[in-house]
Amino acid sequence: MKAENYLYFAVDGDNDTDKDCAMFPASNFRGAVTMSSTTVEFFFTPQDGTGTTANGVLMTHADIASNVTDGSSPYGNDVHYTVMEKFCQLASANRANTNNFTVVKDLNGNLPANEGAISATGLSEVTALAITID
Amino acid sequence: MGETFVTLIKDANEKFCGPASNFLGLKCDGAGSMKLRFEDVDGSAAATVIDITVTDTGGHGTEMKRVCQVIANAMQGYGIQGKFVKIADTLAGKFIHADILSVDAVA
Repeated sequence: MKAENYLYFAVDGDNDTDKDCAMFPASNFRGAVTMSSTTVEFFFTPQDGTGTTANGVLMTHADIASNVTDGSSPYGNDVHYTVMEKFCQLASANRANTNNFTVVKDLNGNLPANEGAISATGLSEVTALAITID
Repeated sequence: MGETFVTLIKDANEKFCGPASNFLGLKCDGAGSMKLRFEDVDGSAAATVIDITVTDTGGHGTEMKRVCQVIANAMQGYGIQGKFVKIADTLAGKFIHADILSVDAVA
């Protein structure tokens, strides 16, 4: 059995409203689809157990048209691809003796006084999140 | 690698034990409230849902993130032996992290 990696997402809230944050096993990742020039949605096996309508995390990033060169992908100006590639690097990063809690993106910026972020905040390209869990 | 089994206990009548590989995910359900879901054990199409309460003293939600982290860590494999982890036991007052306060429902 492969060790599991758990992917954490949090919107720009205070984790005090339904779906402000969510965590999925990386093995439940079904795929990602570009939704617009500024968004990519990552789909997961639904948490309701039905296995039908996927749960989604819609990530917003810079417009591909204005992102002339991001320098991180052979696709040059395709930030869609950059976000997908970095997500997959995080999702498949599980190795023996490493942390299996992976922050893909945490936009919660309301941190306690005198404390920094308690762990990584994730992909720098992502500027907004929307989590859909039915 | 051996399987990791996790347990959450609300009271004498409501308990859950299942393999970590059946974990479907979790979500914030409101301030200090989280829902964990596992593939159902009775063969029905609905997930087993476990409600837990976590600390939210500062109103910044970082405790919830910490709890997500410890749950992920608890579910991690443990070599060929596997392991059994009690994440939360409200009945006995035992929790794997101080920010987990109670198990409120197992359904």
